[in-house]
Amino acid sequence: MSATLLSVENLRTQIKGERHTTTVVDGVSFELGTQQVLALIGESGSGKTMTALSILRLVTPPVAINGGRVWYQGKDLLRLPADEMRMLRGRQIAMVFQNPRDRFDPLRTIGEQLIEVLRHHGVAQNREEASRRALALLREVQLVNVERVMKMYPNEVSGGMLQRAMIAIAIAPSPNLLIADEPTSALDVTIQSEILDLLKDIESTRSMSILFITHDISVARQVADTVAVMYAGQIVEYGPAPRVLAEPQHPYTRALLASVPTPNADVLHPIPGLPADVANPPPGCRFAPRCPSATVHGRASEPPPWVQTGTSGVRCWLYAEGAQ
Amino acid sequence: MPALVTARDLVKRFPARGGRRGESVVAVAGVGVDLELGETLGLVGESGSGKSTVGRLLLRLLRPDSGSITFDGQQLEHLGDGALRKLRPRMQIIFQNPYSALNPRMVVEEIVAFNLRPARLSAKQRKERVLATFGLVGLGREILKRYPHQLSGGQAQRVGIARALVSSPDFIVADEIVSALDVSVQAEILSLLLDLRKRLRLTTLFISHNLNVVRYVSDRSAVMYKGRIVEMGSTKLLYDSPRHPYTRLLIASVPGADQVTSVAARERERRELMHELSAYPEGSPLVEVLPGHWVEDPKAPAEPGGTREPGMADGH
Repeated sequence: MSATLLSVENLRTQIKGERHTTTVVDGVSFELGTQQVLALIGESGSGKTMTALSILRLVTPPVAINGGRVWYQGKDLLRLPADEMRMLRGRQIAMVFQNPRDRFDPLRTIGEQLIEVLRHHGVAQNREEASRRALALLREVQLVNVERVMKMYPNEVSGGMLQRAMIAIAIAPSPNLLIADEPTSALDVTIQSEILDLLKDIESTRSMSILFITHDISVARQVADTVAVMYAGQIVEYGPAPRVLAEPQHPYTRALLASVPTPNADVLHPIPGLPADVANPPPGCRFAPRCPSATVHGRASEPPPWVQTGTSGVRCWLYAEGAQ
Repeated sequence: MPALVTARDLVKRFPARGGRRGESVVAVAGVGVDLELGETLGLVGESGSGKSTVGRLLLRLLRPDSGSITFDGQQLEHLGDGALRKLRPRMQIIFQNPYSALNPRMVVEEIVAFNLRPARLSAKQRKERVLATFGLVGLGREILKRYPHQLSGGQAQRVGIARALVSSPDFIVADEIVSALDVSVQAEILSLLLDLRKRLRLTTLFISHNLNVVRYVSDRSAVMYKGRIVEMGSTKLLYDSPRHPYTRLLIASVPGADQVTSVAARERERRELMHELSAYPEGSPLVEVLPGHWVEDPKAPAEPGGTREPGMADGH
């Protein structure tokens, strides 16, 4: 196991409503090592994006972080003065989003925007140096005809090219950590595969860590060293990707894997019922109403314990001490 | 098996966005398909490949610039609105995003019963038909008076399916119907679709960019690339031994399919396939390489007249 770069402890993020407060990130903990990819897997509303935004302290009222610690290189990001946090954001922890077209200024060329980022972060002292670095970055993300790409406007390039340009902007200040929120979900499958491999390449050439947020287990399988599976605001299973995806322990992880069509799947098993409503979660285990094992252990009304074994963990009564 | 839907040499152009007057893009560049009674044909391809346009042409929601479409023995390409309206109950479509495809101002009962208007049924008969269709797609009567925004994603897509099925159609185009859904809901809708196929003998064109999903539901698959079908055959054959470089590229790009392959090896394979694809002449005739397995083949002699006509249903 490599050195820990990011350690999230008991993170808690809530949305304050007029009548009651909804906990969207509920005691999330995980560790991300240097040059590691951690995939945060979950369906819509499970809290994976809120977790990422909370780490960067990018939540605004009525959303608020109400507990926990986010250790990054010995500092608790949640207690860092705002100006220090601002220095860190983008420069040390960068972010890539699902739809790059929403993130670029449509009125300025890709080159101008890349150069602005390089100058803003003090990576390049003057325009010439910035321009030279920008070209190198575009080559690093495997774009061709980079001189031409520099002069192009965002609407003149394909979604795949724009996502590469966005990755170039994200890695421009040489961050240690990249948070990638569904970076390939809007792309065609052939382009998706290229971008995933590009991220893996960058991870190893730059010794960078990636927090990869996805709803797609197959994508996680391709990129992740470690996975954390989220359900209704909580992590329900955590561990090395090959282990979790081959021998899932939590009934939700199992159900999720059985519901995705794969080349070898003959029969799909939908998960019965509806995802838990985080505004009004079931008492005790949140997955219990849909869980085939809830009747086996018979303790669904009590919150399940977090059971840690080595580098793996699972939030389930089935694995509690004394359980059969 | 006779073909229920047959298309030959379909061509469709659209005015180029932001282009000069008279400029157009070719969305569909000579497509021929046959759908046998009761079969599900998967249509895969990337965005912009023309697969949705083919679906809309087969239903005559769009008029082709040239080519022919036959539905149950009837020529559709020149049919007028009135005649088409009579056929609509027999040919239906299910859309990707159930929320935007359902009228937000109608309750579920009205939405589903809408397609029964040409049948001129009494209110009681209409309600019975709606409820019977609800049973078929696993919806309960408690949602009859709900508006679309009050439904879960899975419920909303079931309503979309019920609306398509209420008029007892023979032919359905399912256009990316699970792409907007969460995976657990996706499995529910796919299982429902397989179940309906068994019970209703529906003929379905299943359009999707997700190869694993297409593989799961379809008997035969066709791969579209730049407005053409470049490969078509039994789903198993197509996935196990793809021939066309684009099909091979698609299959090699499915995420997480092969955990042992290194990033470098995958990048090399993709680069080689891209190279092969760029050198592959476009618009070559489809050739039957194995019974029922058609591949665009640049080495095949171009036949005079229409060459891109697989004639899948006849012959074997």
